[in-house]
Amino acid sequence: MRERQPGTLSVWQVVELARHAERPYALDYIRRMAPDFVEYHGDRLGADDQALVGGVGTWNGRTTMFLGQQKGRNFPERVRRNFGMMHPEGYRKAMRLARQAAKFGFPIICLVDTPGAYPGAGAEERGIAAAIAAAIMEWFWIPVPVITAIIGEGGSGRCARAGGGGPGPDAGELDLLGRHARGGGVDRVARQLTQGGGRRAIADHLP
Amino acid sequence: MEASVSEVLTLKPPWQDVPLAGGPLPEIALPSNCPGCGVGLDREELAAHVYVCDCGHHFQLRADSWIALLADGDTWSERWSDVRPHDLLDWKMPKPYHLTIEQAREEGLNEAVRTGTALLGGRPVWLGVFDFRFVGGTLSIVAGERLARGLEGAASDRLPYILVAASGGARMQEGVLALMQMAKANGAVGRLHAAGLPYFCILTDPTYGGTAASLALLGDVNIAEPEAKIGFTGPRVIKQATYADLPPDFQTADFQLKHGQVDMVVPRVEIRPLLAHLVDLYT
Ligand SMILES: [Zn+2]
Repeated sequence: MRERQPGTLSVWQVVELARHAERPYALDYIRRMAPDFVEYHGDRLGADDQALVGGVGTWNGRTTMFLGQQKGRNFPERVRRNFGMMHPEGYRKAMRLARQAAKFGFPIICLVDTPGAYPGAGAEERGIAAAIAAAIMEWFWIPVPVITAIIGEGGSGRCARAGGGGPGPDAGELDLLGRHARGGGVDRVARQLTQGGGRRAIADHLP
Repeated sequence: MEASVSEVLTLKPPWQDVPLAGGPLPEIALPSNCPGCGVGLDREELAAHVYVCDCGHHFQLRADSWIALLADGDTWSERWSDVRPHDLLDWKMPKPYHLTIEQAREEGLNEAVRTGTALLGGRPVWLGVFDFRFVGGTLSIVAGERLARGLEGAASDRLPYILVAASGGARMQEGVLALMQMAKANGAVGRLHAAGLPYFCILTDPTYGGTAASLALLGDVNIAEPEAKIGFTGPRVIKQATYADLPPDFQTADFQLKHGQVDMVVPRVEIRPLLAHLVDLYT
């Protein structure tokens, strides 16, 4: 399937590719883009959500804040990363680091790879709806460039937004975006994002 | 062909070339055996290894140790060392406060916090360092005054401020006047943040009470030493008040990492190279 041109894959094959365990994950990208990356932890409120990784490193000669959802390659790692599904603490950690980037004028790169926010009782008890809501609102006020790349799954627009970039399209469309990392389909991705308003939110923050 | 993930992970970051200490550390009082592994201690070897045993046990450092560790050679320039404590409340318990102060002064200690400027791997920084030996590193009027002035100095010099915390909390012998230092210091931290300057906090064993609840946990980056105890209320008081069973790792650095309060737990030998790298990234 890997050898075939993206255009010849069925919709479901594209989804399978987007979820493939051998895909590069956020930390694979970050450590290649910024070998001096320093990872930060915690929301400073009560937990460290390991489904969301973040930190600073030098990219293109500039200190850059990286945020991304991280999955695991084997079962224990997947459990530790909660399959890339963020709890409220993950959104709060992302916003803490986004505020820090704003303080220092660091651009932010968001690497989205998640099936969606965690659908669990604990997440409800700790206010996941409010955490997502606050994140969406606050992203509009982060006065630094924010570039979002969907590197695998972008399930449930909510996570794409908290990962960085304001309102986005709905789940089905974003699942398809996984293919753009493999070449083709970039225009379509851009179109979909524009229709969903996500692109606009990003562009608003570019100088 | 791109490097594989494992190759990328073994790349040595450029900042690891920074030496682990800016100069030799002063000798400190040590037990004959390591409390971590029980092995007899080789003082010279331990000093060269910034008082970290091979087993990973970190011996508590003093303010002058941290200054020697972080500052290059003789670049440390101390400020406001002439601000001195007074027994304003005529405090008697458990012993007269003026005697406590005099005794500490006779031991050559100059209050629980020292602050000033230095070069760290050639990079100009402001430093604030707690000394646990001076009344348990407690936040006092003098400590708060030096910290606030230092933080304001960093803001006006446009330099990063690096704090090394080791404190039992606010100094009870100064009562509410000590508690007010929490507000004073944090006002100055807020000014540093508003000026867009980096604030890095090194949390060493122990960091508690009014110090943890004021400026020690407000860093842009909070870095804890391994196994340092960090918290607000100590375990003894919690047990007395609530009869709670506390987990064995309660309030350790790893516990606070898991609970979102610190960004990372970093062995002492890596703290200076890491700080040099962070200063480069943030300035
Ligand atoms: Zn030992």
